[in-house]
Amino acid sequence: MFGLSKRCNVVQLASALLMLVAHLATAQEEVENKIQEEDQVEAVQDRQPFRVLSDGMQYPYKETLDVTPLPHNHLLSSFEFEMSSKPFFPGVSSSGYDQYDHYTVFPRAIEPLLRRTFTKQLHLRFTRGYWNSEEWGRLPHDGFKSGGSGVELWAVVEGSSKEDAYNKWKSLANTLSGMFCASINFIGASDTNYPMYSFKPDELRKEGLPLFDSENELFLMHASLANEPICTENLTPLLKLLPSKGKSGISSLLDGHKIFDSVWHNMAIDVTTTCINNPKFENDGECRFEMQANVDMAVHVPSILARNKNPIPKPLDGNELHCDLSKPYDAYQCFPAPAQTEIQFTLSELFGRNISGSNDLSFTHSRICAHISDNWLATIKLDDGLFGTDDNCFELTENRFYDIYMESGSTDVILDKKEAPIYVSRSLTGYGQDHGGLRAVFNNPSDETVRLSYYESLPWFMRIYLSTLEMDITSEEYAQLTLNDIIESQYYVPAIDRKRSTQLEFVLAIPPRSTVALSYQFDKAILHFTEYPPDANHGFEIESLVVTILDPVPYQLRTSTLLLYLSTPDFSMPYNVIIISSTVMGLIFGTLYNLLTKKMVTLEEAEKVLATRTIKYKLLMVKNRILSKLGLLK
Amino acid sequence: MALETLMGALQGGKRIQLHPWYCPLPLLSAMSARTLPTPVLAALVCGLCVAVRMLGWLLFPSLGEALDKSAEFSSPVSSYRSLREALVVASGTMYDGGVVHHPPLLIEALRAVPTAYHRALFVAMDCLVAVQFLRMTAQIKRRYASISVPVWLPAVVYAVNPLSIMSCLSQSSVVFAHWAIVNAVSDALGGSIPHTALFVSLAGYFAVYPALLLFPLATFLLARRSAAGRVSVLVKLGLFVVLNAAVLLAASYKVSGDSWLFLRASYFSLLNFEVVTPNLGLWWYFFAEMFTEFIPFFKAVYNLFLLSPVVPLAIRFNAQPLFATVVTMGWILLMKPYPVLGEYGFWFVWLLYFQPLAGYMRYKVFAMLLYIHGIMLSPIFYHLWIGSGAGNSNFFYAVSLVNALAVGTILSDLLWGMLRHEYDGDKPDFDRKLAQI
Repeated sequence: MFGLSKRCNVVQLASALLMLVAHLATAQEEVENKIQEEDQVEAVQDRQPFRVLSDGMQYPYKETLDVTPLPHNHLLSSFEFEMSSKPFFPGVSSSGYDQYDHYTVFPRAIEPLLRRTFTKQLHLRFTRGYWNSEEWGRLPHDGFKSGGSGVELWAVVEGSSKEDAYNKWKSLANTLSGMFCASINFIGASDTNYPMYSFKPDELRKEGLPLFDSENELFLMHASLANEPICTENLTPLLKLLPSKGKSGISSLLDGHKIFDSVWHNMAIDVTTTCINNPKFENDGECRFEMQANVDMAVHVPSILARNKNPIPKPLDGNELHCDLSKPYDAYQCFPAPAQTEIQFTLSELFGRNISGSNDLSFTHSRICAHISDNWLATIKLDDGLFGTDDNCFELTENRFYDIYMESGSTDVILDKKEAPIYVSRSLTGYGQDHGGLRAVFNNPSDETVRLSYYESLPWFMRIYLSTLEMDITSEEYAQLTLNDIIESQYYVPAIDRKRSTQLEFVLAIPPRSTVALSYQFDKAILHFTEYPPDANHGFEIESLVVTILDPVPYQLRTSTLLLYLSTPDFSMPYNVIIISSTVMGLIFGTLYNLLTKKMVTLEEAEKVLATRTIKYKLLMVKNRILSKLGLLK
Repeated sequence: MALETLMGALQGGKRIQLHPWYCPLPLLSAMSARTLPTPVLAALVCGLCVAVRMLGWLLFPSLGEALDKSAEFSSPVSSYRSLREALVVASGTMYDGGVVHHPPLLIEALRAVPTAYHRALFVAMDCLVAVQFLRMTAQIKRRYASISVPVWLPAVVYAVNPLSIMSCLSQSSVVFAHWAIVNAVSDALGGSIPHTALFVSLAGYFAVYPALLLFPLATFLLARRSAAGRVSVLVKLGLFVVLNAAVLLAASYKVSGDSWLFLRASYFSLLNFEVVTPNLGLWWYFFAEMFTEFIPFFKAVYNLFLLSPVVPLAIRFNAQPLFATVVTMGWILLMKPYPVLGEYGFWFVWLLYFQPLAGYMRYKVFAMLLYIHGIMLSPIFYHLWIGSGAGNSNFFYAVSLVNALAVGTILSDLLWGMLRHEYDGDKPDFDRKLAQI
């Protein structure tokens, strides 16, 4: 669907030349080279799906919206925006030979940030809500574009040492915090982890991310702010990064009022550095930043429509009630009917806005696709006319207002949902505010063993006892399995108070059709008076457990965040405690000191001595002495 | 019987002779210690020790684990939980975290014993302590004619003391320090400088603060020596302690994977009170509530406070080294950051030796009731705060204050008793009214 870029032509030409050269080599090499080069040409073509204007300026930008009905009248809308920067050579300062940087579609805010902080990959997630995977199936993009509830950030940063990389990461987090109006700046050393098995660090290294300095290393760092509120002030900066700025194309649909009114919503930004890595090409070593922004949301359509109709909820009239007539009912009350299966709506009803025009910037038109079964109808609405297509995909080509109209008589029939390969939940166990336990339950409904990586980061005030790690397995067939059979490998970095969080990673193999529960115990620490947040009795948010499936299908999911209650001191007491403790210590010490240093005498002696200590007695003595000096004393 | 004794104590404590209520077991009370050879007595004490602990274990199988999690019997530096945590982690990395605070040699020694036998090991350690009490009591009685306690009594009290039993069931590592302390005192009584130095170093290695017992124990070795002899004893003792400490630390460095991290985890974290956790001591609430800027200052103050009376006590009571040792132990217990009841159970055994002072003591019933009040209310108030949420942290803080007052009263009363004893000499005169100026 995309024309070949000029660069692709050049690449093909170059590869043809190289193939010519290859003919001169031995027959064996020829075959090998051909295979290799064909692979590479394909790879390069895949990476550059964008058009180039005749002036040589590139506007590599593409946007799509996918609308997928989910069971029980839910609807998933996935916005995807892709863009990439102009090519550059890593390690060569662009201002060295050219005194200005030129930005087309790639955001002006991001590229200097990446260069300044030596960031090679950046992943930022803002997610809230609950994705009901048992009903809705897999997460959109197989979970690789969604985060745990709250804000999640991970990045691959080049640095000469871990400290150097951490400082750059900190700078990156601070800048992103300002850019996205989020509390990312609160990420510190005690929140940052260096994942071992999760977030694919090995594959990242294999991809050959470029180093500006060959003596440096790449560091993968991850941190998250559990249950951080996500708000329209995080969405607006994201829209500002798009070349259309939310004014035209599908991004004109994005309105904070509606997005944050959804059952589940997720905003993701992924920036990677991709390079041409073949010495046979003339542009070998050339790199570009590629950015993907995603906004996904799942809404319950009938409740949105009901709210449009009645912004203030009020009881329905009797004739609007959907009663279950198979159960007892009368004129005033009845059991509600099972959820209605007829539905009709337009996207403008769900988003509160029309789509204003297309993406005019690049030659890639905005594209909207509805992934629907035969029981559904999806049409594009243009000046009161409805138009349908065979594949239910619509290209927005003109600068007009568009809308999408969808209807179905049986919304319970949807396209085959893809079952999630595993269901994971995690909960806190125990009661009391001194000890507790964590229990993660893995339910593998499939017929194959699922290999997955388990990534958990816990704050330092949860003191984990890994020696208490236990496993329960429900399946009788695998009842004899032990912990060592389930855990293939383990990476454990214990927390250090106030300096480092616990990082616990496993590679687990969950046997088919079984439920495995891993649990372990921890102590809850007492913090210093000033370390408690202002709402200390609200509890502390614990970030989600990240599960990445390695086999059989790539998939990532996160559990809900947890709320941990810690015991609190009495915040009104500091002065009292200081005074009372000091008094008790002073009392005991004073008594002992007196006992050790004073002389033991009988009471009579003591009274005598005491009598000689009075001022009256001393004055008398002085008087006597004077009198005796003067010879007046008798 | 007990009532009679109590009444006697209330009436001015004139009757300081041994009372039948000291003999909790008819078997032992029927037997005179003089008629029994020491090995038989040791076997009996050991058997009693094992039997009582086995009984506790069998009757309450889950009690040990509950006690290991309780604020009274378990502390971050002595709990079996954190010891087990150390055992599952590789030797090289066990101190790279905030949970393990036990010294490396102890961990490695326990690593060599299969986990299933750990409970038996702790019982065996308790037996060793009890038997050592037996040996030491005989030594003490030989040296101090005025100490009239029966030779078997301290060992039996240690064996059946509920605080010691529960501490053993919780598998608290304080027993290792206790074993070293009893040995150190016993060797100091025997006059062996290298052995005293060895066990004091071991005790200090296990729990830091018992190292301070070096000062009172030195006065054992200094007794009945000329001025020149005293200097040489002190030099020798100092050298042996430094040597032992160096060997222990070097060995620890080796076994913990050529790393000095254990110094921070096992020792500095104690002095710096790094883990704020509720206990019966005076530190935790003070530092939980203290303003951040003053925390380092007050940590220094608390450490100096603990240190300050140790040398003065040793000097003042150089004629009564055992007394100086026991009072120092009490003071350390009062002021240490992570006291547990197992240590109180151990300390109370030592008080038996000062039974002749009981007549002089003015508040012994008050102190005893105060202490019982404290340890009875402690689990209740802890549960109200942590478990049910009906109370708040001040409840448990109040208990730790009561506990401190009780121990302070016991200490000051002991001191008073000893001063009176010194004043009266060998002829006690309980009617004499004395004051201090």
